[in-house]
Amino acid sequence: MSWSDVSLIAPMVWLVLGGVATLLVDAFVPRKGQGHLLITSLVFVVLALASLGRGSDGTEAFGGALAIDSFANFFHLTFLVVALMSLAVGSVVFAREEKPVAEFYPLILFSTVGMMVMASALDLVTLFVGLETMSIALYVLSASQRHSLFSSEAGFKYLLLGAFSSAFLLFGISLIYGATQTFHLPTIFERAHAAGGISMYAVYMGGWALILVGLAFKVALVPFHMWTPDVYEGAPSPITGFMAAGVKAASFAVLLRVVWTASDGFFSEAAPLMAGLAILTMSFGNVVALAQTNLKRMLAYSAIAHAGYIFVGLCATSLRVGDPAAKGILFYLFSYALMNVGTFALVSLVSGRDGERCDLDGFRGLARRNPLVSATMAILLLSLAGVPPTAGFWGKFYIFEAAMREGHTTLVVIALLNSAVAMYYYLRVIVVMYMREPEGEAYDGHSPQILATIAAAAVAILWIGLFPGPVSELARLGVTALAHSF
Amino acid sequence: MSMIESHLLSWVIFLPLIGVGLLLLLPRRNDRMARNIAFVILVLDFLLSLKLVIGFEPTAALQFVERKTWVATYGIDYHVAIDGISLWLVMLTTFLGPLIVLSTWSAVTERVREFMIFFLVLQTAMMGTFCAQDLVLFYIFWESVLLPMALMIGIWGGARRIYASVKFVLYTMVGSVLMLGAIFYLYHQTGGFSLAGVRAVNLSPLQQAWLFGAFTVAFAVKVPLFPVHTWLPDAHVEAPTAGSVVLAGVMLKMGTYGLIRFSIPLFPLAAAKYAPWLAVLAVIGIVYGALVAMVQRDVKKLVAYSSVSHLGFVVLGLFAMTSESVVGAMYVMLAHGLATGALFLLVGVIYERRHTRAIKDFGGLAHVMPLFTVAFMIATLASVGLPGMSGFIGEFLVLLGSFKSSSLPAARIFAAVGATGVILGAVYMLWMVQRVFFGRCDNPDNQGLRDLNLREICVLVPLMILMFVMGVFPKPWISTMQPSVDALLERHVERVEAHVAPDLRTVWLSREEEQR
Repeated sequence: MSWSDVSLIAPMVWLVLGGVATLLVDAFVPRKGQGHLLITSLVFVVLALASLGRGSDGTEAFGGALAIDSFANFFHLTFLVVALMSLAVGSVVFAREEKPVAEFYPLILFSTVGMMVMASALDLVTLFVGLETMSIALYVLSASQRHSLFSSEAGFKYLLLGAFSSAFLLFGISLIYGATQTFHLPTIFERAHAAGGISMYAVYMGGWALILVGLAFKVALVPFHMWTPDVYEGAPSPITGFMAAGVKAASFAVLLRVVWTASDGFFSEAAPLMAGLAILTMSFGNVVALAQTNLKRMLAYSAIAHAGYIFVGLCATSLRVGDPAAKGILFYLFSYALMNVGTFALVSLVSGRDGERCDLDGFRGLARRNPLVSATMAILLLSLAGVPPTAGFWGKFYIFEAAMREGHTTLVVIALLNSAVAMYYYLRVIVVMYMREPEGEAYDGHSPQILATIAAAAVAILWIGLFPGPVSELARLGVTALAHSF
Repeated sequence: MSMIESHLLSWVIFLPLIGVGLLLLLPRRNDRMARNIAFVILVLDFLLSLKLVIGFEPTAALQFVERKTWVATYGIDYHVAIDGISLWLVMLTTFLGPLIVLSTWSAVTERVREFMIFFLVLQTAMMGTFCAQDLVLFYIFWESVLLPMALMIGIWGGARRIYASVKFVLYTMVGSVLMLGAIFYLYHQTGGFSLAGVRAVNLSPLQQAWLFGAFTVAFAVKVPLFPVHTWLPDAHVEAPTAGSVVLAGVMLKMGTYGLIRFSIPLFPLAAAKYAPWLAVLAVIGIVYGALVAMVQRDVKKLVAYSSVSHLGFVVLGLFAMTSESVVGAMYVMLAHGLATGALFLLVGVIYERRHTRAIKDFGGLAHVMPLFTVAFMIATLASVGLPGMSGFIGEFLVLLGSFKSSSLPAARIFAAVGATGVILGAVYMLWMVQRVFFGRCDNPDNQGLRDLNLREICVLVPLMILMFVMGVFPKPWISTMQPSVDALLERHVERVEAHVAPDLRTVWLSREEEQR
C-alpha cells in the first residue's frame, strides 16, 4: 500500500472520514435536532464528489484489488448522488421520530462506501467485503424505526436472507478459487481462456452458479425475491429508496463484471436460464404489482420488474469495447437511481410520520392539494413506466435495442409487453392523484429538503430524457474502461 | 423574423409548448388569463401555420425540412418535414386548436390552467407526430399524446371517466410497445432510424409481414379499426367536449396517417398481401359502426360510432391503393375532422344547457333554437356526404377508387358494401336529427333553451364555411395532396413488382431448363 493508492480511493476515504466525523459530532456536540449531523455528512459527500474522477482506464489500486477507472467512477457518481438525496430526505423523516436515530448518517455513508468498493472490486474477496459493508449497514437501517414492528421485521428478514445469500456467494467464491487458484477476476478470465482451459470445469461452473444465486438475492430476481416486498414496505421510505437504487446498481455492477469474466464459460451455456430468469422476474414483478394497494409494496414489486428489465440487458451483453447492452445497463441504473430515490422521497413526504398513509388512497386528489408535488410524482412514475421523453424511456430503449440486436427478439417482445402491463399500475397512481377527489386530512408534508430533492430528480429525469447524450457517453466510457480492465 | 422563417416548422410544432411555459408562470386561480394565453398562442400558431400553406410547393418532395443530430451514437435525428400528406393534417390541428379552446370557455371551469397545459402539450405532440421523419422521434411524439389526452378524459370527463381514460391508455399502449419492438428490429436491420433510410432497405416478405403487423396493430387501435374500436365509444362519451373534438378531429387521424406513412410504404409486400384483410375489417367497420350508431340513444355515442364508420372509409381507401381512393381517404380524414368536430361541439353546446344527451329528452328543438338547428343540419349534411359538402368528395373518391382497385380481389364488392355505409350514414344521422330537432317541442325543459351565443357562433362559423368550401372547391386540397400520394403509390407498385419480377424470371428460367 502506498500513498498513491490511498489518493486513488479518495472518495471512499472521505466517506469513511465523514462517517466517523458524524459519529463524533453526535457524541460531542449536544444539540437538539439533526441539522448539524446532516450538514457534516453532506460536506463529506460533497468532498467525495469533488474528488471523483481519479485514475485512468486500467488503473488498479492496492495490488489489483480495486479498479479506479471510468466504470468505477460512473458507479461512484451514481452512489454519491443516491447518498446525497437519501441523506437530505432521511434527515427529515428521522427527525420526526420521538427518539431520533443519529446513526442514520454514518450508516448511510458506510453503506455507500461498501457499494463503491463493490463497483471497483477486481477480486472476489474485496467484492465480498464491499458487499458485506453495504449490507450490514442496511440491515441496521431497515430496522431503524424503533417503534415500528414492520421496520423491525424488515430488518430481521433482510438480515436472515441476506446472510443466506452471502453464504451462497462465499461458497461460490471458494469454488472458483479452488478451480482457478486466484481471486483476481482478470486472472480468472485469462486462465479460463488459456490453452487447455480449466481442469476442474464442473467446480468452476458450480462456483459461478452459486455466485449468480448470491447476487440474484441482492438484486431480487425471481425466485430469489421473497424478502423484497416485506423489506421495502417495512423499512423507512428513504432507506427503501436508498436500498432499491443503490444496492441494485452496486449488485448489477458486480454482475456485469462477473458475466464478462465468465461469459465464455458459464454464462454462454446458461443463456436459456438467464433469459428464463429475466422473463420470470419481469412478468412476476409486474403482474403482482398490479394487485397492490399499498404504494410501497407496489414499488417493491415494480423494483423486481425493473431488475428483470436490466437482466434482459445482462442476457445480451458480452465482453467487448463499447458493448451496447452494458452501456444500456449503466444508463438504466443511473436513471433508475434518480427516479427511485425521488419516488421514495415523495412517498415519505406524503405518507406522514408512521408511513400510515402509504396506501394508494393517501394520494387521493394530491393534484388539487399540491399540483407541484403531484406533477413531479407523475414525471417520476412516467419515467419508471418508460414513457418518453423521460430518462426511463432511454434506459429501456438502450437495453431493449441492444438485446434485439443480439437476436433476443422474443425476450424483447416480452419485455415490451411487460412495460405495457406496468403502465397500468403506474397510471393508477396518476389516476388517484389527478382524478379522484381528496378526502380525509389535508396533506401536511412540507419540507424544503424533500421538495428540493424530488424537484431536482424530476428536472434531471426530464433533462436526460430530452438530451440522453451526455449520460450515455459517460456510460460508454465506463463500458470501455470495463473492457480494458480484462 | 429570419429565425422564424428558417425554422418555420419547428416554430409551428413547438409554439404551444411556449404557451405551456407561460401558463406555468401564471399564478393559480387566474382562469381567465389561462384561457386567453392558450387562445392567443393557438391563434398565433394557426397564423404561423398558414405560412406553411403559402410556402408549400405542390410537389412530392419533403418541404420545410429541419434536421439536426440528436442522439449521435444511435443516429437519431431531430428530423421534421412535411409533404402533401402531412401538410393538411398539421393544418387541421392548428385550425381546430383555437376553436376548441374557445369552446371550453363555459364548459371547463375547474382547474382551467391544467386543462390548457394538457391541451397545448397535446397540440405539440400531435403536430410532431405528423411531421417526424425519424422513427424514434415519431414514437416519442406518438407516446406523448397519450397522457395529456388520458388526463383530459380522466379529470374533466363524465361519470365513468376513469374507466374510459384507463381503457384508452391501455389499448393504445399495448399497440405502441409492439411498434417500439418493430422499430428496434428495423434499426438492427437497417442501421438507422431515418424514415427515408428504412424505406430504401429491402426486407424479406416474412420480415415485412411481422413488422407490418406490429406497426399496423398500433395504428389500427388508434384509427380505430374493427375489432379494436371498443375504447372509442367509451372515451368519446366520457371525454369533455373539447377532448372529444381533439380525439375525433385529429387524434384518430394519427392512426390512418401512420398507415399511409409507415405501414404501406415501409412494408410494401406485406401491405399488398394483407390489403384485402384490412379492407375487409374496414368494410365491417363501416357497416357495423353505422348499424350500431343507428340504435344509440345518446347523441354523443351515436356520433362516436359514426366515427368508426367514417374511419372505415379511410382505411378502405388507403388499402384500395389507387390514386383516387388514397386521395379520397385523405380528404375524408379532413372532412371528418371538420364535420365530426363540429358535431361534437354542437352536442357539447346542448349538453351544457340541458345536462343530458339522450335523444328521447329532446324533440322540436328547431322551434326554440333555430340557429343551433341550422348549424347542426349543416354539420349533419357534411357528415353524411351530401354532394356539395365536404363529406361527399372524400367518400365518393374512396368508393370510386376502390371500385376499380387492382389490389383488392372483388374490389367491386368492397365498393358496393362500403356504399351501403353512406346510405346507412344518412339513415342514422337524419333519423337522429328528426327526433331531436323536429316534431313538437313537448318537454317543458326544452322550451326555455337559449340559442347559440356569439362565442359559440364564432366557434362554429369557421367550421361551417370550410365544410362548404371543401365541398364545392376541393382543388387546393387535392392538388397539394395528389403529387405526394402519386409518388407514394408509384414507389409502392415499383417495389411490389420488383419483388414479383425476379420470381417470374426464375420460374421462366427453370421452365427453359426443363425444356432443354
